[in-house]
Amino acid sequence: MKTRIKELRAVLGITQVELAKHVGVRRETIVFLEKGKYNPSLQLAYSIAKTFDLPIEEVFIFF
Amino acid sequence: MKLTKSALRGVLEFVLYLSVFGATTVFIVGKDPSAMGVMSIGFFVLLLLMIATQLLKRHKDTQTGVPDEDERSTLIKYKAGYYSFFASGYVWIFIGLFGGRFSDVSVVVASGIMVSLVLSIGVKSYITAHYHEDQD
Repeated sequence: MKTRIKELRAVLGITQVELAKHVGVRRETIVFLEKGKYNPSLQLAYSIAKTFDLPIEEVFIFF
Repeated sequence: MKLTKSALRGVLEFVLYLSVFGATTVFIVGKDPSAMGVMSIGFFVLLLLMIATQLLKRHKDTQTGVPDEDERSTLIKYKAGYYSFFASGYVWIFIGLFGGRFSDVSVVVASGIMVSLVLSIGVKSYITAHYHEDQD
């Protein structure tokens, strides 16, 4: 799985800490998500997608 | 100063680790104050440093408003506990097989507890660094 979190964060101009605080997870979790090394729960994926105002499939890309 | 839930849990974990390692170290040093004692003190100091680092990190996270635990860290804890349990099992099998070679059984038991704890810390560190659900 790949994610567009890093790219979308840059567009919004928010840091990993700010995103982590917004969706209620640790900064490390955002780091792992950006590297594609962690599959989030549906709830977390939804929260992140909602932060960027995009549907889940446009933030998380499954092969 | 208000004691937050996170800080309270940190203090409780610290006291728990300190109690187990402290008691084990004092016990082993008391039985054999030579090589084993030095090794135990080394483990003890290392553990104190690890705990201090962890507490400082938690404090920093709490200050910045980031939660000190989330779904990923909870999964890591569960997974680390699972693997540590089985890894520790091998230590006790080893002790069961070769325990008779040691003069004092209580020293072997105390060492087993310490090795189990060190294993659990090592496993947790490894899983934290390499966590990937696809590796299940």
